[in-house]
Amino acid sequence: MTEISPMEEWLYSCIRCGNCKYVFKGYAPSCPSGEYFNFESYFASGRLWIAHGIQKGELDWDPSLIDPIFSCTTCGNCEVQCLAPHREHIVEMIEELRHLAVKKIGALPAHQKFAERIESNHNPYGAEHHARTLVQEHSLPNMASIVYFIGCTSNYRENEIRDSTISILQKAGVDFTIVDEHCCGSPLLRTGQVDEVTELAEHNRTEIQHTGAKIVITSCSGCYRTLIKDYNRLGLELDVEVVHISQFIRELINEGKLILKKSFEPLQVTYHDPCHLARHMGEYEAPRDVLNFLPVDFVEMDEIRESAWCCGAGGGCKAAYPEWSLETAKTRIEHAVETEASTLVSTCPFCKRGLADANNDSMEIIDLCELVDRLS
Amino acid sequence: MDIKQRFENIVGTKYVSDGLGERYIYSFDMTENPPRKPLLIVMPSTVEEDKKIIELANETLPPLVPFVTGQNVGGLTIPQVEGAVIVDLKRMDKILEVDEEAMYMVIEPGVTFGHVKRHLDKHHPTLRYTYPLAPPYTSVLANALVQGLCDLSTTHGSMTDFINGLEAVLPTGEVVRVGTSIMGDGNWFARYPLPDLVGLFSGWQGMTGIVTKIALKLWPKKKFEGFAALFTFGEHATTHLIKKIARSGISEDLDSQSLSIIKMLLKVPYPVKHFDGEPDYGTVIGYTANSEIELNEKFRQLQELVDTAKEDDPRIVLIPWPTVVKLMGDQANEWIDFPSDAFKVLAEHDGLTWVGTYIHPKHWGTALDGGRKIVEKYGFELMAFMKPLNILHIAEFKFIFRFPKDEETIDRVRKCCEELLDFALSLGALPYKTPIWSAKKVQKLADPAFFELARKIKKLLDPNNIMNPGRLDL
Amino acid sequence: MMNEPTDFIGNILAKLINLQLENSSMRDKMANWNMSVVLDTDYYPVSIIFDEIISIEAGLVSDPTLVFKLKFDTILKLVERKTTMIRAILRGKIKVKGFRHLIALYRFYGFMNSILKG
Repeated sequence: MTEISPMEEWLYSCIRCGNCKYVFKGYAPSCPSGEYFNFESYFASGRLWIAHGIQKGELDWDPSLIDPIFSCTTCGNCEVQCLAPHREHIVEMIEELRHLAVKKIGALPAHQKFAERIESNHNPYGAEHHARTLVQEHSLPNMASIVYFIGCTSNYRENEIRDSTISILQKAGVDFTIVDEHCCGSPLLRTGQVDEVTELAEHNRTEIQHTGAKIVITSCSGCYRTLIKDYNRLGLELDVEVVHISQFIRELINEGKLILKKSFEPLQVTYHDPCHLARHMGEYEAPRDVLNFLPVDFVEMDEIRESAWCCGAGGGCKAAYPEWSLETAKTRIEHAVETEASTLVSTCPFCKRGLADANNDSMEIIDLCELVDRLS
Repeated sequence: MDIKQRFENIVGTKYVSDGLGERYIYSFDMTENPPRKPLLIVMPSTVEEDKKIIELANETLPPLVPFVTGQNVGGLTIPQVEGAVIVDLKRMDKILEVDEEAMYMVIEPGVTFGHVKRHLDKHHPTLRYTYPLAPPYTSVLANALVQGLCDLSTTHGSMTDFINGLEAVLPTGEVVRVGTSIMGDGNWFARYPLPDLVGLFSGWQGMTGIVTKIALKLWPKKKFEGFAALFTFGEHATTHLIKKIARSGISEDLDSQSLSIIKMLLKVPYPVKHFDGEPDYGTVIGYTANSEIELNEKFRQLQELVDTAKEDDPRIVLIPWPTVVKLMGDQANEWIDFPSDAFKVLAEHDGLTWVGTYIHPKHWGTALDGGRKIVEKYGFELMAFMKPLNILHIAEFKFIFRFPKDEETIDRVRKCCEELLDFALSLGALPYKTPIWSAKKVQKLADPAFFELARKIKKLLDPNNIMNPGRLDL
Repeated sequence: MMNEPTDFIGNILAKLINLQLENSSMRDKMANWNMSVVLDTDYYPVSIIFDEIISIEAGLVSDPTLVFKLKFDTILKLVERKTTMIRAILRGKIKVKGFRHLIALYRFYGFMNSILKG
């Protein structure tokens, strides 16, 4: 994927001290995979040592390695808790190991479907590609200063996020358009199928360039991370500023372009940090700032920000390990229920999907865009 | 039905693995001790499952190796024979009881120091447990059974001395308790009277059964605590002063370490070298009190002891912790906030090991002085660590090595460790958390009657030799 | 910011100095000092070299502008504010060579006061 191999550079400083397994000084579990599967091989340190064994020739490629290698949401909580020199590179190393595994053993069937569907339909769900239809539906221009990059999950599964985002942008009078976007490549990057991503990235860059836009907004944390971090690692510059919708809404509110309603019966809400927006990209404040603007009572869970428990949907795990993914999401819902909030807000369609699937009607689960649209 | 299926019938398919990845990960630890892959790994969650696992092992004879949280040293969880089954106990992770009046807790094997800290802080804030200079996710039960040290060892001895009693599944499948809990639950307040059968399990490295519960002493948390750093020169002068401080009973905890370790904490990059003229040792001294007056008086008494030593070497300094923080930054507070993250300085490479012994206090300085020369000869960083135990009935020291796990370095580490141990043994020291290679050396020198007795006990308790065979080279 | 040397005293001094260097006016002020000072402690000597950047070396630099002979214990007392530079000099706890370099002396006096007081 990149010329620099994180494994070559960082693999040899893990003594398996176990700090990656729990929240530093908080002692709550940090690794969804390790907590569920329990074996040492399912914690970050175990995965690094599998990579170690492979690199040193002490471990042969074997189908039994697939589960420990791929049952990781790549949430990055281990990186926050680890105190060793390689701490910032754990997820990169796991993704590199996955890339090697795909080359040697092949992708998991569930992940392979992503690739096939992206090739045929430009999205991992195999849904009918319809980005241009939205342009006509919403009378959007061909050229605009801002592109709303919808992302496949908002476009083909969690449509409310797409629709509320468009609604917010229109209410605020934003000059934007939608391009003929293809999957950003995140599902492939996270599951070791790296080779196909450059073509997707180049297509998206060309489409964005055709609009003359200087800013790209995404309502998907996965797209946000991919467009900035991964495209950069691929050596592909978009030449635009990529902004997450929570950051953009904060600006709209600050500039008075988005007027908020008053509410006399405020909702009790709590907020789940999506891994791709928060730990991976360091954006913890924007969604919280927006929530603090809204007429809601905002209450925090115990494990938040850098140490937030993952929703379980990332890293291709919802597709390949649905039962565990669901259990992980249930744990996060339990955290939210403990706050006595009625509504769990996130800023990622994937989190919403994962959490909603695990929800037993104990709370309302919505995206920040939906909440803002409702209250503006 | 194959053996894997039979284990699956006991604990469920999810909790048995013979995958290549698992067998590899469980085949080694962080040290230089040679790896060996187990046949499979099984993860029970109840005493009943432990019992069934042992009964199955007696029938089909795969050796069982107890394992908990994975931060293992000394090769203690590496199977010594082919076809072993690792019994990973981390799912047994309940804090079963905290008795505030008699000040003890009863816990399962998977409970870690971090979890004890969180539980006590939240539910029993007037009580404290004690923490080793190890990652916070080490098993408390395992550390107690292998005679590990902690931040109350200077006052109360090794963690084995904190055991009030335990419950174990014997190698023949019976569940037994020792200590006052033989009179029933909620009664784990003491290890005595009657024969002290805790000794059938502590120091045996899992050869005499699977310990499923352990009762450990807790202590009242005093309102005031203070720390100070002491910088000293030379092995003999340092141990002389440390002995005086330990015997005074002023300090609750004393950790002396080579200045290199202090410099690692100061983020001096690898490899850390000693400069001529630098102090040789930095000692962190912890002390507690019921009032500020008592705390200040303890520091004054410490200063008095140090001032006496300064008559021989005026370069010795005792620095109160606020000054340490001012000099070395806020990070200094992380070193004393237990469970400490100071362990992070040891995570430089993929290998870490140490040679550690209990030694007669009279040989302490000689052991450190001789050890230093050996470490320097092999070209490793000087990372000596020492602690007086139980006021000063026992002196402890170790030399730590952080090393890349390549063949050449592993070989050099092994040779250096062997030479260090030979030297310590010549002074009558005994290694703790004892690796096999180390036990072999002890057996060559020690009274054979001791090991003969150990073999008889092992045979009596474990006629089929299924529990962790080969440990201690029995 | 200056590199932290790998010797004990130098490393500690560098940490203290770097705290001061966070202040850009302090950085600018020291950029033109062009002098060297030896702290000749009872542990070992440490040289502080003020050039375009500040650096610290364990050992003696040749032809230092100033030499301060003092115990490590005196450094601690300065940090703890149990004494001051002036008082320590007057009481013979710090011995200074290089009085002829008055500007350098004045600069270093102020510098030590600020880094040791924190």
